[in-house]
Amino acid sequence: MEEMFREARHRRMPKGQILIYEGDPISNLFRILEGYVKVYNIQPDGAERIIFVYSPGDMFPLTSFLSGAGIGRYFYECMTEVNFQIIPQARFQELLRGNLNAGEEFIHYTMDISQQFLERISALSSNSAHRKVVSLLHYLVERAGTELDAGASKLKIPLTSQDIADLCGLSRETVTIQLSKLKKSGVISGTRFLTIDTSKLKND
Amino acid sequence: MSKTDKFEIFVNPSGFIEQKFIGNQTPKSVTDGVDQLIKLVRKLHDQKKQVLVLVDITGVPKITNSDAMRGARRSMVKSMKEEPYNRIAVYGDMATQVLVNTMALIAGKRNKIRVFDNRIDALKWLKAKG
Repeated sequence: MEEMFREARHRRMPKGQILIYEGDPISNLFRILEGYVKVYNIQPDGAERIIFVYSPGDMFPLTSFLSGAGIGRYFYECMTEVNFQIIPQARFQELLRGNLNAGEEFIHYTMDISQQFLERISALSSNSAHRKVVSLLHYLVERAGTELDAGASKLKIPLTSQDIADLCGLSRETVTIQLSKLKKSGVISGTRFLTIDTSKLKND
Repeated sequence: MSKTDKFEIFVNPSGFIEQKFIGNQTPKSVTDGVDQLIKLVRKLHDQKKQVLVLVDITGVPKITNSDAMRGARRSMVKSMKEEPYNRIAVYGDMATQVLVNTMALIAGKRNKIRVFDNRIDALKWLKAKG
């Protein structure tokens, strides 16, 4: 996809910056070079529900781009400082048109991302708090983990209990209980940048 | 009507082409399905009729993006781009919607190809402009 973003503009945004608001008209496509962007909506009770975390190499907002809706369906907010590229969707579409090799790469990407989206939604709908937290840790290792040595991974995103609660759709209190249990069993360690014992996580 | 164990295709009494894929597909079944569809599209076009196509993918349990399917995907994009149809409405699950939307984008035919999650909405769009 690098070829497609060759003429894109580069931007850097600080942590906490909202790039897209729900309901915003959208005409650009973003591609992350460094950093992480969370995708969330606001529940009727005011709680933030994080649906997805985009990491370096990812493009967004794909849902509205692919459907041609032109309206943001979620909020997109920088979780860290983010360095990204930005290109008008119409230009990206023009570059993609008839380019079967880039098209094939794009198909792989959109299918993979949509699969991960479905897995996240399925994890969010689980009834078990433990399952939700464990599924989230698997997901975060995959998307934002850096391997320390065989069987251990450290997350590159700083997370508070509230962030994890928003990512799981649980209360902060429930998440604190679950995290304590996982710490006791040696699955996780550390505070904001969690280290995860992936072999223990697999067996959990 | 043409029918195999992987798909069936026919001209609906309402005049549009209807194609239904059944079960997990192979590269051959997809390209065969596309070939059959092209034949009917060209036939209706030659008869100076409006060419509307309804494709049902709800019977395919798993849509894959495997390398084995690369040729089949290319033949779909090529036919989306070149064949003389007026509109195609496809309905299926989320993976189907992502795949078809992406292919329509690559073919540059997003205005002529729409994806839905059910038959009613697909038919409504197909017929509304008809």
